[in-house]
Amino acid sequence: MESSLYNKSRKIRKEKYKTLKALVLAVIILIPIEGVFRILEENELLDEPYLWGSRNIIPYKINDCIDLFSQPEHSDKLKVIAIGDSFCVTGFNPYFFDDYFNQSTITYNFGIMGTAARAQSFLIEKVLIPRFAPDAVIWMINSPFDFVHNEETIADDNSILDTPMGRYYNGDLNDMSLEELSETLFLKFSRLYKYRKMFIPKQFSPELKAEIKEFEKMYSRGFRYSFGFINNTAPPFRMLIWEKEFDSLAGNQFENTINICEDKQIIHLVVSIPQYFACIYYYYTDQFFQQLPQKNFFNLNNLNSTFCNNLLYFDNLHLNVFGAQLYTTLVAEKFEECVST
Amino acid sequence: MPLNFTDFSFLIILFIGLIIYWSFSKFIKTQNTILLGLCYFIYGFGSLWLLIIIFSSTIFNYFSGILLGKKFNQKKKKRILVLSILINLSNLVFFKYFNFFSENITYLLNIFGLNIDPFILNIIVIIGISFYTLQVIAYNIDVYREIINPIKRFIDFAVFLAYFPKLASGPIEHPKNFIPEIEKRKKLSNCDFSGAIQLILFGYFSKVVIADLISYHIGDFYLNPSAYNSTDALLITFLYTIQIYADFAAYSNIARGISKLFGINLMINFNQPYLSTNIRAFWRTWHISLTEWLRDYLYIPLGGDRKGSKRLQLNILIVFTLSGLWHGAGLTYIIFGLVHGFFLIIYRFNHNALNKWNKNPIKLIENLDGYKKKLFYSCYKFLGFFITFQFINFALIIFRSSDLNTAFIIIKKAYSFDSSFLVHINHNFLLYILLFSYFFIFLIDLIQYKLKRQDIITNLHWIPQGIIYAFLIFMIIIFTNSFVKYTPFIYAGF
Repeated sequence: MESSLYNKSRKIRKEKYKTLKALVLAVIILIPIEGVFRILEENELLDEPYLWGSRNIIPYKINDCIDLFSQPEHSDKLKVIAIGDSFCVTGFNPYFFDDYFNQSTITYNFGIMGTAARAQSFLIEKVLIPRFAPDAVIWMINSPFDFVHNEETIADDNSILDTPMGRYYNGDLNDMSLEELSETLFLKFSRLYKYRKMFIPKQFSPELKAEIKEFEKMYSRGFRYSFGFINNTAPPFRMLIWEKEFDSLAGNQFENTINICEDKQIIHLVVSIPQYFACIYYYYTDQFFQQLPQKNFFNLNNLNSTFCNNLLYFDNLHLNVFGAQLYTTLVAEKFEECVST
Repeated sequence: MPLNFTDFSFLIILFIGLIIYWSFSKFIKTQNTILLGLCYFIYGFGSLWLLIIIFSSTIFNYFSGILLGKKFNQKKKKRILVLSILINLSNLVFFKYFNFFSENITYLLNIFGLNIDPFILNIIVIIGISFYTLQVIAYNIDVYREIINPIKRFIDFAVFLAYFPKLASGPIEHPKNFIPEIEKRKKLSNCDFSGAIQLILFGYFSKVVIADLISYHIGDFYLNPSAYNSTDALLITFLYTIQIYADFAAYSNIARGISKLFGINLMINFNQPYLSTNIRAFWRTWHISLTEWLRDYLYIPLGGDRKGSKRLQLNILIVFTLSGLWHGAGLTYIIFGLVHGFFLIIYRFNHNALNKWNKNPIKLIENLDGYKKKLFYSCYKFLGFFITFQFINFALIIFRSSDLNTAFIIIKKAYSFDSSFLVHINHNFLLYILLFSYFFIFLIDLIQYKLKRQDIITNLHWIPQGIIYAFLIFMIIIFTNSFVKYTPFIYAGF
């Protein structure tokens, strides 16, 4: 009995030392790998789509954009801001765009995952133009199809119409401060989902917390808040809040934004967002893009487009690195035309 | 919400807790008190209500255990036992099923022309209530059956109930195995550090690299299955089958690993279930702790297989229906349980019939010679594995669907085998993820199966061990920092 206990304890001790040695070896293996990644990252060789504009925190993006545009070496360059939703985040490569123009431009990807064109319009009018005075705006807008809409999500939508989120849904953004919009966009990412409770980020102001208290009763994927960072726990798939019933309103707002750009003599280019998903299931049958003013508008949404090819996407909705290169090149060519005219 | 295994703050608290815990390794009572403090801190993090409810349950069951351990006459003891089971079950029913029953009873009444609004209460979700209620019922029954003595120290009993690694998703420990683990003196020198590291790393790998990756890509399908074609739908159902295993086994592995760091051994909850060659074997290897609980405290008391074949079939259906209902308040869970019950009845019927007619394939194969025996045996096993896996996959469609209507749509879609079937895959990445996840899950399971043990790394030389650990850590880091976001453990919701 005693000797078996002794043997067991000896075995455990032996294995412990072996595991410790193995863990040390694991660390020794991992350190150079980490080093290689850091070198690649610092040389921008790892700037895959998600790094081009993955930060959804609007204040962060604003600061980042200010930093970029204020650098002395960029002072003589044409300042371009690209805006859109997650497609813009992953599908438009600003480095590649600037390379196309031999670094005579400096471009910032202001794409924010999950935003509807209405919110983008608001950002262009209230944030991008007044704060950055860009020379050019490239706006990538999405076709307003509504594929994840069913009775359940519509019921969810209706139940939050009185909240800031509801105002966002209705397009009633004019009396919303930038901070509120920023927070509301976070909320939107919750992608209402039946079985999960929503978490309200702790750093929200008490007033806003009170206003969105209703959310606590609702089920969603919500956010995680840990050590000062908010992480949305779901991919921003539900960017489809630009429902068909708001088309006319959206159209007006779209025109207003374009008019503002024209008044301020800002070069503007509106580009449609091609998606393989739409090629398969929707065949681009919506009339939305046909109703838009065709001036400075680059429509890539047709079934014969190069972009009806799933090899260019990583998930049927977002371009992969090859797709982004192609898309950015086409946008750059069209942009060149706009500049020359 | 209690702290989760994947929260960074959890890891920090665990680390601090371990240091304090092992600083008092000479004092078993102090050690358990520290452990209880840690359990309550982790469980009650963010919600005092959770603590109040588990503490009330602890006080009640501590005293009911003491009473059941006294030398009363059998009748009186039985009454105490029935009362304690009823109170524990009503606690579970109220917090978990009240709204479900209220909605369904109102629905039925409305069918009969009584227009009544359902009485819905805004009840908080008690994490782990399904798990600790079963454990505490087992404790009371075992004390009543005199299999164990009641726990004397209140602190020990509180740890028995609220032990944090297993609280949210089990395993549902046998009191006769788990109580000695709590009451024994824990020595740091006997702590199975190697086993713990392996289990924890495997657990995080399964969760972060496999389960969360799949969850990220298939969640939208269950919201809108009609937007997918037949091949994609079938691929996704297979992905979910792996996801739920990777997710739940990950929790069990991490729980066992963390528990080992405290010198406490938890039972094995999964034993390569997807390699099972029949549905009976599957239930012996899947969520073992629940299956054993149902067997010991429900199936056998109902009469098991001792009261004739009709009663046996009824017992199987009762056990599996309740097992389904235990997972959650929803018709899909009940149907999931029933489907498994029917599978098992069919399997038993088939098995018995073949035995009766002397056509049991195993016996027939055993009569063969040489390579034929080996070949037929392998084919038989593979066929058994394949059919069982299809059954499991089918039942999990119902389990995962939000309602029966969605389940029907998905089943119709996945098994329609239309003209595009296997020809057109709209979502190529699904196939890659399928291959990736199946490769790792089945590789680990096959190695464990071949070696006939779960600790497949600790016996290796330290160099291959180190390379495997480096790979696991690398993958965990990459996936934690990638676009794949953390989703809560599936079974924590039950």
